[in-house]
Amino acid sequence: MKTEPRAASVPPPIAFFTVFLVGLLTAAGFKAIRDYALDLNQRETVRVTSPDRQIDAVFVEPAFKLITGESDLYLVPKGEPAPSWGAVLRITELNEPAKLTWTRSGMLEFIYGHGCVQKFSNFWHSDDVFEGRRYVELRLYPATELPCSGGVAKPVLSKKPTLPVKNPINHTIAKADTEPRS
Amino acid sequence: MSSSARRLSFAILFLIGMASPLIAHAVTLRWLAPAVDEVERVTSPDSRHDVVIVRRQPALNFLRASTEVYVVSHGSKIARGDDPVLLATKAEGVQSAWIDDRLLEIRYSQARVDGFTAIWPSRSNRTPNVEIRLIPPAAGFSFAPEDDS
Repeated sequence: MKTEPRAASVPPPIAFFTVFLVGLLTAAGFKAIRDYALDLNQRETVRVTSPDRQIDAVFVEPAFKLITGESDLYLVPKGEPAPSWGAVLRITELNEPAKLTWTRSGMLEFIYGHGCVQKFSNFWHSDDVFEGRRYVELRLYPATELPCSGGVAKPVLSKKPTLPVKNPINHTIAKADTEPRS
Repeated sequence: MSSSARRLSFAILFLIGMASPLIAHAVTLRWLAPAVDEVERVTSPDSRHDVVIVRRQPALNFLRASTEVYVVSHGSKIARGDDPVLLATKAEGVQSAWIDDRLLEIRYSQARVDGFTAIWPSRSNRTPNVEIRLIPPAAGFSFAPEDDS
């Protein structure tokens, strides 16, 4: 009996697509594992509630600095834990506690002596707070002229042209933006 | 298709799947490259570095224009892989000034800062060559809430 040679079988397109998808999911999985490891490794050191008691500024530091030496600042609805993503500030080589101050409900200041700001965003917003109508502005106030390299220990607060404005604390950004701008 | 060719194609597809976020990002940068307009270039007192302010207008009109600030070696152009020290949208009145050879000040009257790093170069473990300080407006807030609707 004579048998026909087997035709070379080509996998169906769905097989190729599935393999592609598995690759994509693997990349997402690596990121999720990394975020989870960072989440486990972070230790909350400071939590400051906004004057209207709606938002917490949470500063976290790594429990084991071998994994990461970065400290992060998060803003979260009051009482919620800090996530492992979406930090508004990432700073390294912080050698003394930073100071967080709400000057009013929508304005948060981060005052620090020595540290290297790696990543900073000056705004935060959440749909979970005041139905998404609340925005927070962040400002950095290094207490020395070269806070990362520490070359000059001249205080800059005295020559800082933007001293914090001490307005009434119950003042939202939405309301502030109705004021005329110069 | 032979067994080894099938394995190879699956392996390649798996790697492409893993790299697809990076590939998508690169394609976006390559084909949807925004128009770049150099607004200002200021040389440091020791003539070693330039701070360059650019404005990017994306190819797609519904995307926001951004203002970016780069630190480069004196006379250099901004390279494709360079990271800005400041990336802001809705920015007005962005100005830079060298306080001394190693300290740069960036002022603005209004800006929504999406990314800022206070050191340059940011990817090196060495002591930074330049430190950057942000100077927001003294009074009021620096950005308006979402008003795109």
